Amino acid sequence: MCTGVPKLAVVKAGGTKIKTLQPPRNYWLTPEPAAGTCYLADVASVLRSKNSGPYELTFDVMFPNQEIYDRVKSAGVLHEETISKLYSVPRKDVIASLFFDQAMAYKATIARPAVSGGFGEIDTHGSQQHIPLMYLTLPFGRD
Amino acid sequence: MGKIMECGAQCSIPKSKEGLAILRKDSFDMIPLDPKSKCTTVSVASHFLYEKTRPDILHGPGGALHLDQTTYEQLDDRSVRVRNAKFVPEPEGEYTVKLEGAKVNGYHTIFLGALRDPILLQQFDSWIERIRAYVDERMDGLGFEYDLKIHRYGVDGVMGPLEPDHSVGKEVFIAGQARAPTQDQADQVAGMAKFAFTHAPYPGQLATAGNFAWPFTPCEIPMGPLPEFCVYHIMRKVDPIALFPFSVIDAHGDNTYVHQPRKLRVGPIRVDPR
Repeated sequence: MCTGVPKLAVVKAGGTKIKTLQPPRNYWLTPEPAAGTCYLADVASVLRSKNSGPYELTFDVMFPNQEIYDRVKSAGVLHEETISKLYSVPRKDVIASLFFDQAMAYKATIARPAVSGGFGEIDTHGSQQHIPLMYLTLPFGRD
Repeated sequence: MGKIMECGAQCSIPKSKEGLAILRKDSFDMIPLDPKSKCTTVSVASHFLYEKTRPDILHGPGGALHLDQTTYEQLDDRSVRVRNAKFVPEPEGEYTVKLEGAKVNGYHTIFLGALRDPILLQQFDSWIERIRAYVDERMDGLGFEYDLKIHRYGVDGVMGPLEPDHSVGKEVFIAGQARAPTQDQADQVAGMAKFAFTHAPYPGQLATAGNFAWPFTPCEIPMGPLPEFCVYHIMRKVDPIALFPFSVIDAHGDNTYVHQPRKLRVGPIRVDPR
């Protein structure tokens, strides 16, 4: 569905042909979200997970500008309860859930299902656990 | 500043290697040394999220660094000044130090392969349970404890208990992992489990020649000792100096490093004619 590689487009500006880089399509996730909604991954500039110490898993969500950050923050969707539901962990295992205005970022931390690197480990760095957050639905459309 | 500089100029855009920090009484400046890279107020602030529980309070020896009041000023195209970070020490006499440790917890052996048969994949949860029961039965009485983990790629291999999507793909990659007190015992468990994956029957089976497609032979791979975290503890009310004994060594010389490459023996492999 998506064109990942930027395409060269020829744009006419003031009668002169200028070659510019067309940015790739922003929206990678399918299916298309319901009208008037979008995915968190549609608006975030960084959305990642990682260990924070061997017993915790932390999620960072950053936004490209103040307008989008404020919009997501005021939508009130990103909070402890949401993280608890998305990852099926009890509320007490959501160790942190907060916005950090200086970085235009949201962060949440949960207890790791098992200590990092132990027997039966599935993601030693914890860097592929962000997927449910990508698909979190926000109450405004893609455009 | 320490939290940022331990990662060099990772807080720059694009991410670069070396950074320069200028530390003042109540602020510090952050500048990447790579001229193609720059620091922005947001890129520097963002770094406080990296691999930490929360970005506003960073715990360390003897106290916590509070960053909720920090401000970030763009000095020029590439430099950022950070102000108002506050270190809040633990109360007098309650210095804290974190203790971390790991141990060897047995030995492990893995085996890798995949399932593709749709009749098997429709019932593979119960089939894997029967394989576990079979391995338990065969290992019973051998006198050692073991663990067997079946990683199921294509089902929940990457996210395990955190996986919200329970659909099954057209093929499932299996990474089996056996742990036992010795390598030899772990090899035995893995071998038995791999045998069961290859030949265990299931209702509706048409493909009676084998279930398990493995790419590498030998299939069982001894992995050596299995390391595990075992200590992760905050020690309270400790003497920060006495815990870390040090000695001073006086070294004399001209302080010049001369690189002396090791002589490697390189040549054709000789085969003993015997």
